[in-house]
Amino acid sequence: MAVWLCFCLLFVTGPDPGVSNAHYTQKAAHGDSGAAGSGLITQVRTRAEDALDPGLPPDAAALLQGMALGDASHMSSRAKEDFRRASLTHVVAASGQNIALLLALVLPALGLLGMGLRARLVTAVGLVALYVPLAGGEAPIRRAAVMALVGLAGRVRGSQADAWHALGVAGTVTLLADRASSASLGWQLSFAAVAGMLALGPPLKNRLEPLRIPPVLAEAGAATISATIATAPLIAWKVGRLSLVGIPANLLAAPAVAPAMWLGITAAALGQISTSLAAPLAMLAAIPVSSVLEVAHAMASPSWASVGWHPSGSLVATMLILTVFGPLAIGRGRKAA
Amino acid sequence: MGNWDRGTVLIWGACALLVLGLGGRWLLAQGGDAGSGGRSSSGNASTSPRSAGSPGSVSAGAGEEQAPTVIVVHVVGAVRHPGVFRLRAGVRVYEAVRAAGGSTRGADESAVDLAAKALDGSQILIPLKGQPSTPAASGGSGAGASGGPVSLSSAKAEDLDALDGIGPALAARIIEWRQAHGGFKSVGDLDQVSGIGPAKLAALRSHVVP
Repeated sequence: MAVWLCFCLLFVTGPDPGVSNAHYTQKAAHGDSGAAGSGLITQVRTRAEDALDPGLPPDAAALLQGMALGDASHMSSRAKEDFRRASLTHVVAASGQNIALLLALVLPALGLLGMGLRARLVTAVGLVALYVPLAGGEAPIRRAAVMALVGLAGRVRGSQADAWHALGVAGTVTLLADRASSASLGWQLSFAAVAGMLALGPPLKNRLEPLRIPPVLAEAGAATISATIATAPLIAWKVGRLSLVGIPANLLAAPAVAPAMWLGITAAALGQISTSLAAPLAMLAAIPVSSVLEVAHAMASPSWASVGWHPSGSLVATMLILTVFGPLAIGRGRKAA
Repeated sequence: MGNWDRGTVLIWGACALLVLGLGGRWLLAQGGDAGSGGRSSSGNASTSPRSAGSPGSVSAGAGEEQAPTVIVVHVVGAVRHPGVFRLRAGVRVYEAVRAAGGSTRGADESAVDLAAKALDGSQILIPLKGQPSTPAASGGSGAGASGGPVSLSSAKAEDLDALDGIGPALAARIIEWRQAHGGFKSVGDLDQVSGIGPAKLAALRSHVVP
C-alpha cells in the first residue's frame, strides 16, 4: 500500500523540470552518436542488427530488429502505418513483452543447463540488466525491467511477489529515476497494459476455460485482449484514432510474436560471436515475422480498420479506472456472495 | 506439461499452421512482387506516362514503355556490402542502401536523398563524412533535370544533355574533354571546352559540380 501511495504522490506532482531536462540532454548526447549508450552497447547492438538481417526482405528484417531490439526506426513508413491501424505497434516497441519473453526463454534454458533456481534467477537479472540498454532503455522497458526484477527478487527470497505490488514498485522507481516518464506515452501505455492484464486477465481467462483451450493459450489470449482493451482509450486520447481490429489482429499475431522474438533474441546473441552462426536462426525467424507482417497488412487494409475518435481526458481516465477496478469489484462481490 | 491430449495437440498445431500460412503468404507476396508489383504499379500508372513522355526517355527506346518490375542498382561508398543489387521496381534509395548491408559508421547519409526512388541502372554513392560527394549519379533518363547538380566527372551524355543550354553535341564535347584531360578539377575547367564561353559557364555554374 505504501508503495502505491508513494507512486500516486509522484504521479500527481508530475514531471520535475530540472530532472527531465538533465535526462533529455543526456539522451540527446547519446542519441546523436547513432545508438543509445556507450561504445560497448553500440558495438553489441550493431553486431545484433547485422545478425538479424541475413538478406531477408527489408520489411521482415526491419520488423525482426524491431521485435528483438525494440527499434522500429528501420521499418518502412507503410509498414508502420499498417501496424498503427491494426494496433500492433507495441510489438515493435521495447516493452514488458520483450522482458517477459526473454525470461520465459532464459529461465528454462538455464534450467536445462543444470543451474539451480537461485543461480538461474541471478543470471536472469544480469541478462535483463544487459538487455535494457540494448533495447534503447526507454521508459516502458525500464518499467518492465523493474517489475521483472521485483518478481525475480521475490522468487529468490522464496516468496511469490504480488504482481500489483510489483507494478507499483516499478511505477515508483521509474518515476523516481525520471519524473518525465509519466509524460511519455510509451510509459503510460505499458502501465495501462499491465494494469489491464492484471485486472481483466483472470476473469477473461475463466471465461475461456470452458472452451477447453490449453491454459497457456487461454492466458495469452486473455492477456492480449485485456491489454488491447486497456490501452485503446489512451491511444485514442493521444493519437485521436481507435483501431477497430486491434483485438483480432493481436490474437492472430500472438502465436507468431513469441517464436519471432525468441529466435530474434537468440540470433542477436549468437551474432555477437559470428553472423553466420546467427543467420539460420534469423532466416527461420522470417516465417513468424512475416506472419505478423501479413496480419498487420491484412487487418489494416479495410478502410474502417481505424476510425477517428477524440475522447476527452476525463472520459479516458474514467474508462481506465473502470477497466482496472470494475473487474476487481465484481470479483470481490462474487467472492463475498 | 505432460497431458498432451488430442485437443491440445490440435490447437497447438493450428497455431503453428496459422503462423506458417500467414508467414508464407507474406513471403510469397514479397518474392512474387513481380506479379503483385505489376498490379500495384498499375495503380501508380499516373506517374509512368509522365516519365515516358519526358524528353530524356527518348533514347530509352519505344519498347521500354512498360516499367520494369526489377531494377538493378550499384550501391557504393560507405556501405557494408557494396555491389550490384537487383531490387523490386519502385524501391527508394534507403532500401537500396539497406540491401547493401546498410551504411557504415562514418557515412554521411545527409549527402544523399534517401527518399528518392532508386532508378534502374544507376549508381548510388554514400560518401563518408567530409568526403566530397559526387551527387548520387541518379543516372537514368532525364534525372538531371529534376535532381540536384550534375557531376561533370561522372555524368553521362544524357545527363548533360538535359541541362539548359547544353545540347547533344556540346554534351559529347564535354565528355570528350573529360576523357582527354582526365576529368574536371573545377567547374571553371568547362570554359576550355569549345563552345562554352564565359556567359554559358556562368549560367551552368549552379547546375554542375566538378
